[in-house]
Amino acid sequence: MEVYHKTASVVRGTARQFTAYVPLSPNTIQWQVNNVPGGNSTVGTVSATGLYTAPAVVPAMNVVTLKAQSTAYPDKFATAAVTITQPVPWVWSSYPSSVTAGAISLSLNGSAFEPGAVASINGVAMPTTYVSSTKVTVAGTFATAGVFALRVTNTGNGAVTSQPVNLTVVAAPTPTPTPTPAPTPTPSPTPTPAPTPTPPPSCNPCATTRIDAGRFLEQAAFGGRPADIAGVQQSGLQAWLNAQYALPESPLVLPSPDPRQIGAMRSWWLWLNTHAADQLRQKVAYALGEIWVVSSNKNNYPEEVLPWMKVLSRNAFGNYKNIIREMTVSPSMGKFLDLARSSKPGVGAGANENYPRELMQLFTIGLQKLNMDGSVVLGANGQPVATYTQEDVKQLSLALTGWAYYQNQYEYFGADMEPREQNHDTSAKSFVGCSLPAGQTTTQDLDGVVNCLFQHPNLPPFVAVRMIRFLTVSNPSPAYVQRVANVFVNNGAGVRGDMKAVVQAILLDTEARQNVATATYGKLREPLFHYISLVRALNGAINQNNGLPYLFVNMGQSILTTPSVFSWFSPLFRIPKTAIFGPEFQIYSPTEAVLRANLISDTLAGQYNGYLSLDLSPFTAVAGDTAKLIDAVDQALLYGRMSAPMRSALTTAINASSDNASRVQTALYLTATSGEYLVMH
Amino acid sequence: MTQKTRREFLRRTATAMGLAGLERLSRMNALAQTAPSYKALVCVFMLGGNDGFNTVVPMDSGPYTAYKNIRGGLGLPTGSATLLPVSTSAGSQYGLNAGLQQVHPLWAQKKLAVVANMGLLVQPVTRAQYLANAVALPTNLFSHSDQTTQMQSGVPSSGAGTGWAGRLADAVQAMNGAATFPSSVSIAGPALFCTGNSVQSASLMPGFDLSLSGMNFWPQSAADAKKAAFQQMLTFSNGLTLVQQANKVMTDAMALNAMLKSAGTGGGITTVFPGTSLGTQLKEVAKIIKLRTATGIGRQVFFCSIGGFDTHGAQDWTHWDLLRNVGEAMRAFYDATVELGVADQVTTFTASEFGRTLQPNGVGTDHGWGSHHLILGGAVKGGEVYGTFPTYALSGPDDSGSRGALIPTTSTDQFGATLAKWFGVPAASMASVFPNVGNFGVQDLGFLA
Repeated sequence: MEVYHKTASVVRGTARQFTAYVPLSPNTIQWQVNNVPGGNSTVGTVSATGLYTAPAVVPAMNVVTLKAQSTAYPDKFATAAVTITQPVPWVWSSYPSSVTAGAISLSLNGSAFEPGAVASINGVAMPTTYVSSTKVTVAGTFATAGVFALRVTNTGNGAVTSQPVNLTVVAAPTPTPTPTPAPTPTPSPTPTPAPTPTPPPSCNPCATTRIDAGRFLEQAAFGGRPADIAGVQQSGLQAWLNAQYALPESPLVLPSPDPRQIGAMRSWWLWLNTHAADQLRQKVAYALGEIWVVSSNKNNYPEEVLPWMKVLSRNAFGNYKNIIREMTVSPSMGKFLDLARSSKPGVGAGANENYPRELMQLFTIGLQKLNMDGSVVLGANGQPVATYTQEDVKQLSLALTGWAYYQNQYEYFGADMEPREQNHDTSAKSFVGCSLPAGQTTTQDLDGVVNCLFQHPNLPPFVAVRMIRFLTVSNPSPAYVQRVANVFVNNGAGVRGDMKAVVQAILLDTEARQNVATATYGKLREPLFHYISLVRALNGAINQNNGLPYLFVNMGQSILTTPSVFSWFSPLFRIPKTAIFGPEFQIYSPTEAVLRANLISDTLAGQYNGYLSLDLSPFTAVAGDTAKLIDAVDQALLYGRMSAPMRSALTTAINASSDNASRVQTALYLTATSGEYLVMH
Repeated sequence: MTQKTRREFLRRTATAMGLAGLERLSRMNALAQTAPSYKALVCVFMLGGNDGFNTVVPMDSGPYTAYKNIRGGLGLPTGSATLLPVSTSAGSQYGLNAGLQQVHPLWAQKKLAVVANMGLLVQPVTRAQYLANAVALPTNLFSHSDQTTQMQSGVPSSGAGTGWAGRLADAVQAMNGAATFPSSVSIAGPALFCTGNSVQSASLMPGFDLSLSGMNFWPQSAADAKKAAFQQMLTFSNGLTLVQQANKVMTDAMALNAMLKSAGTGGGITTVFPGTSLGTQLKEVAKIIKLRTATGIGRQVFFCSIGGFDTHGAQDWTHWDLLRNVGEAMRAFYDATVELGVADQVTTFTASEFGRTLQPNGVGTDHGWGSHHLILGGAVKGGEVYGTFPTYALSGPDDSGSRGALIPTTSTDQFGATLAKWFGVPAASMASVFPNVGNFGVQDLGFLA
């Protein structure tokens, strides 16, 4: 027998359905809470059909045992551990979201705050005042600069902490040494000047143009917010990159209160990529995740994808060699492609070839030998030359036998997989030109595999082509690919595989920075990027808890859920009947196109206001003046590049309405769904 | 698939080479064939692993006794309340699950046939070979996610980014001429099944006619101006190929919208469909087929699905109902093809990621492998059971283990290749659609005229 869910959290006073699997005949059962049939008002009640209702007050022992007991065979039963919690608080936003270190005061908006709620910054509790269920204020001192997780905890028995929002704490200006060290009169206790809102960065001359800054942030981030674009204009691209490299990694966490809800994790993923300060890291992790695929269509629960996400995130500016190694022993990948419990012949099901094959085909060297410029090497017969044979797959599979979940558990995602020497094949192996001697341990063979693939001549152009297609353009010139591949080979300091250098080379290449497009230039926005970049351009906010993810399913980009290890679309997909690459077009068919346009229409019309908010004030402020309205929209979404015919079409459409809200919606809708915007260029 | 053919297959499909090859092939087809009439293939995918052994039951005394002995309480008793009798031309007796009451008469009309014990295989496998792990097998047998992916990709490993319906559509592109209407269409959300190398998977959602939101507000003249601008902008070219392509996709969508709207909400179909999910999906397919002249399309593949077939428990009362859903929707769809005059041009078939164990677990059945499936249409040589009917014996010659997860006696490739040949895929391109089909002697099971 079994009870689902085996572990669960239930907010006090709320109900949750449990089910029992009873492979007995007859299958009648009785439900109990802490051995009390039907439960009671202290520990909660349970109905005859398994509907558990938590008590209104969290009991002193807030973990209760829900038991389903066979009435026919009383010795047969199954239990679930149910944690009764306070309501789950959500923080939507902090005002301000950036403060100067020292005395700070914040106003936090959210939901389900309880009297006694306490806000914390980076785990440090702050003096907090409860205003309402949707608002608390913080007034206290926080002295460290950085980007920190800001959370609210509903305290008491069964305390629950919210998901974080980011709070940026800027270092207080260091006093400039005064030239004359003469003693100054004791300063009168003047009140510290209140921090003024940061004015939009203004620059003249600027380090770069608005077009360049805007385009750059579409490539290096999930699009720019208005202030980000102004900031990049002022600081220049390299300074922005340097600042991004230095930012702490956004925490990747399981959903709360129920860590088994993959739906909550999908919502949170949208929020994370819209709001994370470490945009470059998140964008690179997103791109890497389209190469190294794990999907919740098999890894059903958040804990089963989280280790994969962490490998991508922590290595975004790391070395590709570490990605190969860490992904190979990641329990997420171990489950998704079955390396977990792959064993030497004769033990269990023997050596599993699934991961070893995809490791070569999709993650490192591909099917065909490549030149450094990404072009396919042709053999003497004029045909492409295969990188590996089935025998190579077999040998590589033997080399990777012996990995099992931590402590040989059935499945475990809290730690990397571990070697089990008794399951490892110790024969000598040879694959894709590399040899491993007999008698090596599981880990020694892993090192050999990682070294072999990492040093393979295909790896630099393989990674270069994919990362370029995912970040900047669909049809890079061979020279662009080669420049990036060269950086993969050597970052300038003799290091191979340095992704920080590779990413920087992709983003700062003249071809990425070419602000006048040529015929095959650009890249179609895919649904998730299209949406997030639009929300950011309109300075919007997405709630951590939102109902948006399902909208992307029918557009072919279900969050964290690719249909297979081949991801949502192939980096090798070409526009039908042409030789032009357009990976994102693989999921842009008529229905998907209309669904996307309708999502934008419905979003602008406020239909999803419970899930997100947009700042349309810059447009409503000029809504009455058609030319100014078009200018504002053009600047926000196209950085001033709107074509003359498009401007003319917009003018006619806007002028047909005298209602300012309609005029703004029409202008934004037509621009955000236009080909000129859809294809970032 | 042999290792060599998998490699060749992947090389062809994962790169641009496939495209150039298909283009050439398309031109050759165009020369070789006269203007093709319309044909459509419709897949009804039963998610979760349908229990084919309780869908079609052998009724000759020996096989029925073996079935009933193994199935025990889950075995269907004789009598038309549970099993609807049918017989083949050779006189073998079978029973269809009473849930299939609506399609049962089509057997006698020779429009409905069964393919026995079909499933994913790399090559033919005997029990001894299976137990000795002596030949290549599909990876991760008995796993829903893996087998669903493989059944849709037609490649029995996790490694394929295209589906066999998409590759079918690739192979007959020439028959679609200049038509821009989608040729590989999922009515059940984006499906790997429909993704080709050059043909995109297109989704169409029942009841969604691709109308734009936000085009109705006051004054309507302003809304009309907004829509006019939207459509006008699709004609602009700023010289970027990708922008033109994006505009083309939306232009196609607008054309599709006009066609779907012109068909009206009922789609001009008078046949009454059940109001179930599958009924609604198949009605959408019928509506699209009705547009075939307007769209000018010659070949289309459709994907529909229905969930709930993972009957580990409560199978005795749920399975009948699931099949009733399938039978009612398939019957209405067949009637609609008669109404549209295309019954001979539309073939519907069932698929599922795997079958189930012959041996029950007490209240249901567990993940199996081979399973019986239905084929329905005017072109079907109905009233027959195709393929080799397996031996129902635990640890018997067709059992992969001891619980009756039967080794398929017909592969998905053979099944698909039979459909593909009827559809117009030339023999030379068959391996590009079904990479392993060459491993099997018979590539046409003969169930289509």
